[in-house]
Amino acid sequence: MRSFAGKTILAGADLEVPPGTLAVLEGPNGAGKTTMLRIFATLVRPSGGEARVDGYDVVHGGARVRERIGAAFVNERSLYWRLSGRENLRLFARTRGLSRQAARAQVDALLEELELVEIASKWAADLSAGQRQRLIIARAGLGEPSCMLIDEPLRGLDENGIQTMLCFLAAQARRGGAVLVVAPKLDELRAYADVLYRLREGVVLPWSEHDGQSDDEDRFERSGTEQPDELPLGAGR
Amino acid sequence: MTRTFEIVRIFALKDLRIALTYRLSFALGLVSAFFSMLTFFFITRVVGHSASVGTPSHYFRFLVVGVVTANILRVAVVAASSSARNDQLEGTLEILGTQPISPIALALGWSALPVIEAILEGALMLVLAVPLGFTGFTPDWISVLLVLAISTAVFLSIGFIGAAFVLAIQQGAGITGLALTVMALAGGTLFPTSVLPGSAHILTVLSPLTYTLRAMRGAMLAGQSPAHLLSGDLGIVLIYAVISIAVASAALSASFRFARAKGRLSRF
Repeated sequence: MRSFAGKTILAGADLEVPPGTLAVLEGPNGAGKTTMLRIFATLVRPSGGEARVDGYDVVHGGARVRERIGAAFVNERSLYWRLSGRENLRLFARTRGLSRQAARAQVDALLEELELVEIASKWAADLSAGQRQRLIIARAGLGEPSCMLIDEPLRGLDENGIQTMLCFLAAQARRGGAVLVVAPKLDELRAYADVLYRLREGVVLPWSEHDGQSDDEDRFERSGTEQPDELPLGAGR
Repeated sequence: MTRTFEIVRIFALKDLRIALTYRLSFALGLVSAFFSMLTFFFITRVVGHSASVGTPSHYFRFLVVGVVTANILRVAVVAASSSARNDQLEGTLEILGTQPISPIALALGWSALPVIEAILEGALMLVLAVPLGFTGFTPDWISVLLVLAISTAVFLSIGFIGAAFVLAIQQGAGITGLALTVMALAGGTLFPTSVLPGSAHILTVLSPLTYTLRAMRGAMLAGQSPAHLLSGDLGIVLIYAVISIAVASAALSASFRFARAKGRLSRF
């Protein structure tokens, strides 16, 4: 639960993401998704309730939690703009405690995995929004965190970027990490997620096919377009 | 401790990489140091005949040591709060808040390169001052380094307290700037403290810059030994160091806790 300016959000939020799971939490703007991620990332302290990462309480074991998380928020300014993509990643690899060799190897692997090798020598300032988005999420994978917290990973990505990102997130979960993704819409995430949740009025609910169907129907009704024959249904890979 | 030094090194290298992308400003800084020294030289020609400061040559030496030392310590004070504010405005503070870095290591990392640069610039100013008359004395270089190390620790700590304000309430650089101006006035950077009125005496006594400058002038111009200095002015600076490091460490930790409680690491 988190209160500010007399308003309480996430009052009924109860969520668990086991290791090796890619969980996606969908919810409307302002529902508290990013605040929930920030609580797990120790950037915001909960006003009540409890949040744990790998068994460590985010309030009392903040330092332990920070050793175990990799976080990516929708903030392209979180990169050092006058450092290259590779330099940005190496810097954060070192702050996570990786040796120089390990940092180099892991950064190269992440750049490869997120198809950023070709632009890795460019300043972050000179990258496109989508490239910066991939770089920020690559950074969250440094140090092989046991818990990844990712805010709207598909935002600003093109078709190819979306597929690359989805494969990356799924691979992070297969590696054994708990991956929590939040997004305002499920879109392509639905096909790759192991478990789907929705956040409504501070309560985390399991996502059901009905939720998606009604959302999609509403969307098609509003836009006046024809509904396609096949909707990407089904949670889990 | 090793981890702290590693973090400091990583941040200093990061800042160096970024600084090297602004080569012109680096070169302009060197030119500016030369003209500053020339300005001080001519000022001493004008005011250097009073009883308080002695001959122009005496005053020039007095002024050079005061200005160079005070400039290094000024940077030590403002570096952490200024870098913290930069990270806040540029949006990198939030992600730094998720990294396994202790507050004190982060603050040291923020300050490392600016302080190293200021020390190098100070050394350059001393070299530039030699042909203008900064000669005729034998410094005790061990004492000089000792005074520099202990006083830098004091002034970095004061800067960390300023950074703590920046983290907690998004402002604080002004507080350290004001403290520094008062210290420079009362501490005897540009003129001997003996010319100050009696009402300003309390500031002189309280300001760590007073003891630092006296110790530095003793080490540099009178060649006083470390033992001699530690039994006097430098001993007082050392006491300031012990107290200010403890206060700064507590203030930084408290400010991070406060910023996390209020969710302010993501704000600017």
